[in-house]
Amino acid sequence: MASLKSEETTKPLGIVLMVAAAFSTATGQMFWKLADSVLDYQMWIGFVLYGMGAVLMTVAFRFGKLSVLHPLLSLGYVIAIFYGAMFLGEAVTLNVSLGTLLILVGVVAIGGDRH
Amino acid sequence: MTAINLLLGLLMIVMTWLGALGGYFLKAASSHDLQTEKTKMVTKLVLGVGFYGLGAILNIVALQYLPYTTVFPLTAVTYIWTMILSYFILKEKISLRKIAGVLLILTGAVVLVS
Repeated sequence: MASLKSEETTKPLGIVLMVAAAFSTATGQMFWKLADSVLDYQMWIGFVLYGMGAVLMTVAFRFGKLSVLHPLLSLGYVIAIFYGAMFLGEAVTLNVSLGTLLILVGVVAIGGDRH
Repeated sequence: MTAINLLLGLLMIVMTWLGALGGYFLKAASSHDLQTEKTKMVTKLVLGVGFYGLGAILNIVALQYLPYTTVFPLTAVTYIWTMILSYFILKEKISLRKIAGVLLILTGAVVLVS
């Protein structure tokens, strides 16, 4: 569809779907981390969630620019830090907080660029 | 030892390019109409999933040989390649804001694990 190829701006729906993709991907990776053996059920849940992340990302790309939407996936790093602190008892150090803040600022800067 | 480091460096470059190419082909697939351009769409979808999946496998392989703290910030390099592909192939505008955003993400990822 020509109208889709010539889209001028990135739609909010594209950003929302990318945030969902980042959640799904990061949750999948956490399940991989929780898996003990090569193909136990956590590993499979991880695969399903990681795959769902790819599907959400593909749909998101229909609603905006690749250069805006793809970097938003790095929100997954922040989500991973949150999971680590919440469920795996990982420490949130000053560097972790500072790094998270920098990533968030970068994500907001790119997400706010509609072109 | 140097040869191994060179090989690992190459692995990281290939891994990040696979991620960027995966994203690019998924984007290319999403701009086709499912009814009228089914073949084109499916081809790009397969390429996208293939590159993206290979990237994920290389990521798991890289983690066997390199510490998490090295692999993790390096995956953010993917978005530099994404900007290059977006600019040259998709003719998207790469504003100063986008460049700054990617650099912030990259710096954040490095700070996070240091």
